Amino acid sequence: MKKTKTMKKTKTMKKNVKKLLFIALAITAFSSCKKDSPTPTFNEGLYEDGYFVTNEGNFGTGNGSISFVSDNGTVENNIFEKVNNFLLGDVVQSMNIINNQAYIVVNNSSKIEVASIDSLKYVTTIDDLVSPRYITKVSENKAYVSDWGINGVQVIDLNTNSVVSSITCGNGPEGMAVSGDNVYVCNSGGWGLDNKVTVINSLTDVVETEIIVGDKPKSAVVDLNGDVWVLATGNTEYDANWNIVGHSAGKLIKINGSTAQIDKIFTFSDSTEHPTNLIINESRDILYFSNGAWSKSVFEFQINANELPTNPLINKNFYGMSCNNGYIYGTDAVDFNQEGWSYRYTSSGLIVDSVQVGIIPGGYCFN
Amino acid sequence: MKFYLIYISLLSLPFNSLAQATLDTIHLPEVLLNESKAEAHAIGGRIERVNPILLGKSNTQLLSDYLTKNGSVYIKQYGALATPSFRGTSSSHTLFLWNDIPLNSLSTGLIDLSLLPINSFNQLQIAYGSSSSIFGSGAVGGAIHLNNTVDFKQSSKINLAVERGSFGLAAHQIDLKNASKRHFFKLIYNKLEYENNFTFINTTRLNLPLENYNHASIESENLQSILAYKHNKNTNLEFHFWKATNIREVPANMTVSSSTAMQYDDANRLSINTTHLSRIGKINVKFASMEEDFNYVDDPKNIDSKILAKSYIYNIDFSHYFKIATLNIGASLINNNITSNNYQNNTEKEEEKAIYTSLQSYYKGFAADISLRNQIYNGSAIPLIPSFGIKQNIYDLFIIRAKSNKSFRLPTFNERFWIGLGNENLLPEDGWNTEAGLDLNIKGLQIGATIYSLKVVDWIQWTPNENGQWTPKNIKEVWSRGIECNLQYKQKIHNVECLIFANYQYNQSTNEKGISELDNSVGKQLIYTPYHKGNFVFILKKLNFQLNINHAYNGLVFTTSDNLDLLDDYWLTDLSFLYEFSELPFNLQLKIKNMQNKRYQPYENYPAAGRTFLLTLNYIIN
Repeated sequence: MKKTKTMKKTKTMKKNVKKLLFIALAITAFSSCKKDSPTPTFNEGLYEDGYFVTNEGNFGTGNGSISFVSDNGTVENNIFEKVNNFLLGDVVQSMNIINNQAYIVVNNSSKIEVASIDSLKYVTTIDDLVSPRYITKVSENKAYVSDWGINGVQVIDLNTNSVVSSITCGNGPEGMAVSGDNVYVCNSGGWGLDNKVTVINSLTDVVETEIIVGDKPKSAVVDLNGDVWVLATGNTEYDANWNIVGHSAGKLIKINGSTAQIDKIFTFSDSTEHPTNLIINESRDILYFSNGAWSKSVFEFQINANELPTNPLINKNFYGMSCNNGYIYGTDAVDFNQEGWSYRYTSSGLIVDSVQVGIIPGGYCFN
Repeated sequence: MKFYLIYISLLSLPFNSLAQATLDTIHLPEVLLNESKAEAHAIGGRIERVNPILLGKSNTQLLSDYLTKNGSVYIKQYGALATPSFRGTSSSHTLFLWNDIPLNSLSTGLIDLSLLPINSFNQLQIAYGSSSSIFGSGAVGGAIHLNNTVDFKQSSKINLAVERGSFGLAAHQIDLKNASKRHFFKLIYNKLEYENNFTFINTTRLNLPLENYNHASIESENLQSILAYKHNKNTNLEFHFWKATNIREVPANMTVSSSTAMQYDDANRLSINTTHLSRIGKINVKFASMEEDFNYVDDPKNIDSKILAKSYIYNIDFSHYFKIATLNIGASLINNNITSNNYQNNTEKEEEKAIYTSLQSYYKGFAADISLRNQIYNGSAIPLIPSFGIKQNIYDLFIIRAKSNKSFRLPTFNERFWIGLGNENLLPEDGWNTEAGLDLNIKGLQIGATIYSLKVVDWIQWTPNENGQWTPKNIKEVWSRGIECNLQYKQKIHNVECLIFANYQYNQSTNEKGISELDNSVGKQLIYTPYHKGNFVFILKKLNFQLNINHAYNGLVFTTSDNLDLLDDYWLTDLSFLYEFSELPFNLQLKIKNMQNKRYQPYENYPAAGRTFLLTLNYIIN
């Protein structure tokens, strides 16, 4: 009697063991089938009436994107991926429209994506870049790309959309401005320090001269007279033990476009302020800048003014700024890990509206 | 054959969660000499002593891989790094201890679990919650205790292992052990060369091309040596040495076509300790010297980050045993010294001093732990770190337990001294964990459940300051709460043994404080913190054969703080077969990882390997 019981028990146990094995394998089978396949959509002409915001995305994760804000205020985020069915890349630094095509500079992916401007449909990729920042058209068939990775500019043939040569500049080439045949490249210092603007003849691709402007020049624009305005943010100085011992003041420099000589220098009185984000309006007679990134204010400067403004135009900090059609635009990246915002102000500094865009919005591109 | 028997006896070790109950009452010198401080302080909390059967025979098994597929810890993996997240806390909220010595990086507070081959150690304990906060900074969400224990039982062993795996994996290990009643010697050397060049579907590119994971190779060497001498029944001396060299190519995410970054992690770790038992109690004196040499280089991007961190740790610990209680007091002095090209002063130094005391009492089925730590850091005392835990065994059938304690994390050197950005006025982060649990034990079936609530304030976050530079500030507040469940079941019929292990965790971790009106992260789940994580292990053993099946589930995680972007959840299945030759001194293990060849992303836009084979051959001479 006892024996039978034990045997019975053993049998049930065996069954249980088998059952468990079955369950274990069943889970394997169940959990192996799940797939999603998005289909690409193409909307020709969709992105004509409005403007683009470039969203850097988080460094190292490849979630940079482009948002489109239409004239009627509707926002479409992540449009490049939606149209082309692949990701734009890591740190979308800037975008420019050249010869009716969109050139999107993807810094940490070391590339520029070229797309049609009306639909953002993928055309080609420019590789052979290291750490590209901005692209500027310098002549009908040629563009320059500032590249921290080579401390110079890469020369792009716009017919083939490929790198044909490079020109050595200073440390950390950043913003560029074109006046006549000359291209003015701001050497921001990159990971070190620099204080020069490199002037390149775009016909010959040869460096004409270097102009010492002030520490860390980052942005440059050209006014209606063809003169070049450079904003040098100034430097925070450390002693041998890396204690802050002082600041070199920020400077706004006017360079004569025909002589490539410095015309005027405006030095910021508070040297702890490090002005940034120089932009110019459409009629090219008013400059705007921030007196320090993120937590400071926006100021207005008439190009024939004799001194720097003291009263801010807009009392808000922006991560990126731009100017178009009589409006000033600025971005807020919130905690740098969620969808940021783009604000629009009138030229007199009154807020118009704001829209929610992608992660770390940093730049604008107007059609 | 002899080895086989040892192996079997190891497997049949009592399951962990109730093992403490026996330690509570028996006070034999041999036990005391090797008692686990971690377990004593975890009274009322949840601590898991990992069963060796779950670890397998592979000498390249990494702690990151094990924890990804077992237990309730979420592992964040990206680039070359794999870091743990307990109960929804950040990677720096896990204290990692090697023989009770903290190994967290002084510069980042992190521990990289992908550098730790677990089978070079013989004891792995995972403490959930803050019960290890008495050991020091960082035990906010949990602690991992990885130990090499010694025994003075006559034995000697030579184990040579060869391992080959998919994607260019080759590993070799020598493991020597010799022990007598008086001495203990162990030496483990292993070398791993891994190309790690798996193919993946690049979901970030046009037409989803099949690509090779490039620039992801790993070369690592570990040498560990343990010498112990037992002077008499009551006194012993231990010497532990661990040298590690790791050279890794750091892969980029899938949107980047090639990476050029390299990471070098070298370490020299040494610890000497002596334990003496007398009528007054037990005294343990320890000295440890830790050296971490880190270098991250990315030439084209002009990055060359060097950190040489040295720590000297002095610890004295005394326990007095009353009839129903143990009183423990101790003091630590830690001298930290970092040389880095990233810091304002090329070399930064600091001294940490700490005293701690605890009282554990045991009466019949009842046990309680009360402890207090006082720490001076940077010349000022941080608030006292108290802890209180109780548990009650009811009819040897189940245990109810509760614990409440404070924890802290000191600001790291990077947070304090980074050139121009570091903030020397940072406060330590402050955590408070409260939990209650129930453990059932019915004939081979053990079920445990723990509910918890964990609040962390003054959480350090990097944000831009008024000059637009990123700087760390004590601004974040996080509340984590959830439930952890675990199950173990063992059944033996004739010569077939069946074991089941299951874990499930539900965790909600929300950001409680916004940085501006626009901040949409308030009340949202933290990034890379799954709500659900779980696994199910089924083990079948018959004579010389063993089969392990592990199904692991990682729930969806958000990748942005406003919870608008997410990574899908995924199931992974690993299979392993182990065969012990009866006539020959070999065992052979075949492991198949990601059996279904699942494509998934452990981190946004980072691919993971598909089906991976791993063959391990161990040659053992006893």
